[in-house]
Amino acid sequence: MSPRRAAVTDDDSPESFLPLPRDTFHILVSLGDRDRHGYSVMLDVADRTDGALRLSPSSLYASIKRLLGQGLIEELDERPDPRNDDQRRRYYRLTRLGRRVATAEALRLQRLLSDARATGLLPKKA
Amino acid sequence: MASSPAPPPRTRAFRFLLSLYPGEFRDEYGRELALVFADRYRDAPTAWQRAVVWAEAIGGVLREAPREHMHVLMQDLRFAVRVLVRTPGFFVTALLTLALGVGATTAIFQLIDAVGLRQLPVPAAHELAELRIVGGNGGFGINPGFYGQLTRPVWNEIRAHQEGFTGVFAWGTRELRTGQGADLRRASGLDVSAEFFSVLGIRPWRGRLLQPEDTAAPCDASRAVVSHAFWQAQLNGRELTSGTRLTINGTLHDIIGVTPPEFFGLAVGERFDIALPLCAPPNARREVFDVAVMGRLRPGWTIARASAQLNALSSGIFEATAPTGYNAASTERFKAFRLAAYPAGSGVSRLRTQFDTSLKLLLVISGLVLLIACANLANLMMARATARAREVAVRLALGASRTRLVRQFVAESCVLALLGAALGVGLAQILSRVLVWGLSNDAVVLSLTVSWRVVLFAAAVAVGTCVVFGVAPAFRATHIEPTEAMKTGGRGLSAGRDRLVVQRSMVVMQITVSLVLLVAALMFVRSFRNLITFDPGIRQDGISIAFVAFPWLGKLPAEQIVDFQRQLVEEIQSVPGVRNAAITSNLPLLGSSWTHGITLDQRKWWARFTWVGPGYFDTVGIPVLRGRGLTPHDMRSSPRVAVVNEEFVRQLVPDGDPIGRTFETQPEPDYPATRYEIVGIIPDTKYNSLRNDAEPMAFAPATQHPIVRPWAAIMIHSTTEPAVAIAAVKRLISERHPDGLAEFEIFKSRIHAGLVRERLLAILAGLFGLLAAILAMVGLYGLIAFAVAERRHEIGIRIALGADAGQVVGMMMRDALRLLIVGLMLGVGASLWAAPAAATLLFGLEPHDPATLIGACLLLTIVTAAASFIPARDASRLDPVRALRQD
Repeated sequence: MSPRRAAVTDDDSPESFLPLPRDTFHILVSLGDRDRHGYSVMLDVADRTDGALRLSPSSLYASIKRLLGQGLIEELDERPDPRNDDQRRRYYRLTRLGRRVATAEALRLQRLLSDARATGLLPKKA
Repeated sequence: MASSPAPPPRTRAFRFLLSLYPGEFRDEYGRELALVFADRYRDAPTAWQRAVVWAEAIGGVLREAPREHMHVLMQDLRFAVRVLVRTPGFFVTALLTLALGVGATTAIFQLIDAVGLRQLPVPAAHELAELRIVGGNGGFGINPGFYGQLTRPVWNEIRAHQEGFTGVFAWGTRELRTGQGADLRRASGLDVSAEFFSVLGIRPWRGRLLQPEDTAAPCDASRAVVSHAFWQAQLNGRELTSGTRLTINGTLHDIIGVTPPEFFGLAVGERFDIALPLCAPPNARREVFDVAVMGRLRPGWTIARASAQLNALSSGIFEATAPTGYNAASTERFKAFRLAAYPAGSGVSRLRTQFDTSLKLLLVISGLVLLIACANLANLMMARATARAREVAVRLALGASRTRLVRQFVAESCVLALLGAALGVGLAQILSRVLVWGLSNDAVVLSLTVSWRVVLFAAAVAVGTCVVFGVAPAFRATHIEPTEAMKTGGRGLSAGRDRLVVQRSMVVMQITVSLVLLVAALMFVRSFRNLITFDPGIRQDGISIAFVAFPWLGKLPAEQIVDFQRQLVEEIQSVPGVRNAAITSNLPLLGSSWTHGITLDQRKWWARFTWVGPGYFDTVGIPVLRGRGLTPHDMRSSPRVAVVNEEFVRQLVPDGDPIGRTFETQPEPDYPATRYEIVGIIPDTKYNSLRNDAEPMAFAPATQHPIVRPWAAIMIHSTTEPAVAIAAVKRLISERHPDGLAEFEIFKSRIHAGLVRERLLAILAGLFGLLAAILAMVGLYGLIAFAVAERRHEIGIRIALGADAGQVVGMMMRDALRLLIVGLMLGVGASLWAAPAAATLLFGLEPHDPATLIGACLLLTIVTAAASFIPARDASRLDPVRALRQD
C-alpha cells in the first residue's frame, strides 16, 4: 500500500513520496500551470501525452482522493478564472508540498535522463 | 426553486454503477464522477467512441470500487484496534474467552476432519473404490479382522473378471510378532496382493515395494516391506542391504523396501508396520472373510456403473466360491450375496465407525460452549457500548451516519473474533493432540494437519461469533438520541431495568445451555462409571492372560498337544500366588466371538461357543448353578458335553429339566455337526462386550475342540497383583520351556482400553460442562455486578433509609434467582428434547434420567448463588454517603 499520512506538515520530505505513480505525476504536472477541475485535468493529460494516457473518471478521482489525503493538492474555495468558471465543478490546486514533490520527481527523471545520455543510451544532445 | 429536468437514462445508469462504491466516496465524488462522465460522453463524436467511454467508465468503477471498500475496511480495522488496545483488560479477557471457545470447537473439528473427511495420501485418491458385499455378510463364516470383507477365493474371482477398474488389489490386516523367544514384539501387519502398491501409486522411499514376482511364489514368500516409521524405530533408519532381515512370526524375511513417511496404510487412525505378500491360493479357505478389496476406477466409469457390472458378476463369483461343509440353507445364503463398489477415497477406519457419533456430539457440545462464551462477550460489549454512549452521541451529532457507526462497532467485534479465531486455531493444535493422546491406548495414529477445511471452519466460526456478539451491541449503542445521551452523560439512557433486558435474556440463555451441557456431562460421566464398575458376572481383578505358542507342537498328533497343554496349565497353577488357570478358545469381554447354529429337538437357534479347560469357571469366578462344571475327565475321547447359561435354557429349553438334554451344532468347515449333552447350568454373564445383553452361551471342554492348535490362551487368577503373577509365569516358561513363545496381558487393562470412547466422552463432556458452568457464572457475576453499579443510587437510598445487609443481598439475589428459574425451566425442556440423541452412547442409564437432571439443576443453582452472592454482598457494603454523593 502507498504511504499514508494523517496530518501533513512542512517537515514532510518531498523525497519520501518518490518515485510517484505515473497517474499521480501527470495530475500534478497538469495542475502545475493553473488550477483545474477534474475533467480539465483529464483533457490536459490526454492532450500532453497525445492520447497515450487516458485517465478514467474512476481512477482520476481515486488519485484525487489520495492526493488530497496526502496534502499534495487542495480543493479551492473560490473559483480561479471567472470567465471560464463552471459553477458546478470542484477545482483543485497544487499545495506547496505538492509543488515540491512534483519538482523533486521531475528532477529525479532529469537525472535519470542525463545518466542515460552519459552511458550512451540516448544521444548526448537533446 | 425550479425543479431540474430529469437526467438522461445514461446518467442514471452511470449513477447506478456508482452504487458499487462505499457511501462516503459516493457522497464525496459521485456528482463529480457523473459530471465528468457526461462531459466525456458529450465530447465523444462517434458511436464507437461513446462505446469506448462506456467501457472505460465500467472498467474504471469495477477496478476502483473494491479498492475503496478495502480502504474503508482497513480504516475501520485500524480504528478498531486502537479502540481495543485502549482497554487492555477487556481486550485480553475477550480474546482469551474466544480463543478457548474457538480452540475447543476447532480441535474437535480437526479430529473429525482427520478421521473422516480427509482423502488418503495417495495420488488421485478420489478414484479409489471399495468392493464389498451389499449389506455385509451378516456374520457368515469366520470374520477375523475388522477390515475383512471378502474371502480370498472371491478376491481371485473379482481380479479375474472385473472390468470397471484399471486395477484392483486385496489387503488384510493382522497382528505380527517380530523377534524371537523372550524378545517378541508386536507389529501391525498388512497383507497385500501384488497390485497393492502399483494401483495405489505409492513410490518406494527406499529399495522397492512388493511386486507380482514377490507373490507369484507359493505362500511361503519371505520378502517384506516396512513402513517409514517402523524402519526408523526398529531398523534405526539404516540403509537397506541384501542382508537386511527381520524375523517375522518366526521366519526370517528380507526387507526389500520402505514406504514413504506419509503412507500409513488404508485404515485411517492406524498405522501398519510391515507389509507382507498376501497369499491367495485357489484352494484358500472359502469361509474366512479376511481380505478387503479396492480398486481404481477406469476413466469414464462411475461407481454406479462399476457396481452394476459387479452385480452382474456376483452370482457367478459366489457360485464358484461357495464353501463346502455348510447345510443347504447357509450355502444358499452365501450364493445370494451381491457385490457393489463404494467410494473409498478417504480410506476405511475402525476409528471412524467407533467415534463418528461421539465426535459429532462433542462438536455440538463445544459449539454450545462457544455460544455461551459469545453471550458473555456480547454482554461485555453491551456494557462497553453503554460506557461509550457519550462518544457515540458526539459522533452522531457531528453527522456520522449510523451505518458507519454500526460498522465501526462490528469491526471491533470482528477484530476480536479474527484474533480469537487465530489464537483458537493455534490452541486447537495443542488440544487435538492432547485428545488423540487421550484416545489412544497405543496405536491411534492420526495426522493432524491444518487442512483448508479446518481453516475454513475456524473462519466460519469467527464470522459467526462476530455476528452473534457484535451486531446486537452495535445496534444498541447507535440507536440512541444524541441529545439524551449528552444530557445524561452516557449513564441513564432509559429506565435501568429495561436496558438490561437483552443482557438478562443472554444470561437466561447461558443458564439454559449450561444446564444442557451439565446434563450431558453428568450423563457421560455416570455412564462411564457404570461401565467401569459394572459387574459382568466375570472376575476382572487379579486375572492375567497368557498367550503361549510352541511351534514344534504342530507336528504332533492332537492327543499329545492336548496333553502338553494340560501339563502346562498344571505347571502354571503350581506357581506361587497363582490360584487357578485355564485354557480358553475365546477371551470374554474383549470382542472376539464364535457362534454356532444349533438345533435342540425341533427348535433352531444359535449360541456363543467357548471351549475351555477344567478350571475355567473357578478362574473367572462363574458359579455352576446346577449340574456340574467341566472336569479333567472330559477327555478328547469322552462323550461331548456342554455347560450352558440361563439365557440358553430360556431360549432352547423353556420347559422341563435342561440337564441331560442334547443339542446338535450345524456343520461348518472343520466343525462337523456335533451332538452335545447339557451337563451344567451357569448364570448369565457378558460374553464379548460389556454392552451386549445376555446371549445364549455354551461352554465345551477345550480337549474336545474340533481343531487342536499348537498355541493357546490361558487365563490366570492370582492372589498377587497380575504383574507379579505374570513375572513368575514368564520365569517358569523361560526356565522349563525355553523354546516357547509367550505374551502376557492384564485382563482389566484390556477391558478398560476398550472403553476409550466412553472415557473420551466422559472426560470431554465433563470438561465442557465445567467450562460452560464457569462461563455462565462469569456472565451472571458480570450482570449482577453491572446491575449493582447501575442501582448504586437506589441501593444507597435504601441503606440510608435503614435497609440492612441481608435485605440488600436478598434484593439483588432475588433478581438472579428469577433468571435462574427461567433458565432452568428452559434448560430442562431442552435437555429432555436433546437427550435421545445420546441414547446409544449411554450405558446403564436412561437418556431421561431424573437423578441426572436434578443433579445438574442443583449444581447450577449453587454456581448461580455463588456468582450472584459476591456482587450482592458488595452492594450491601455500599457506603450510602459516598454512593449518593457521586451523583
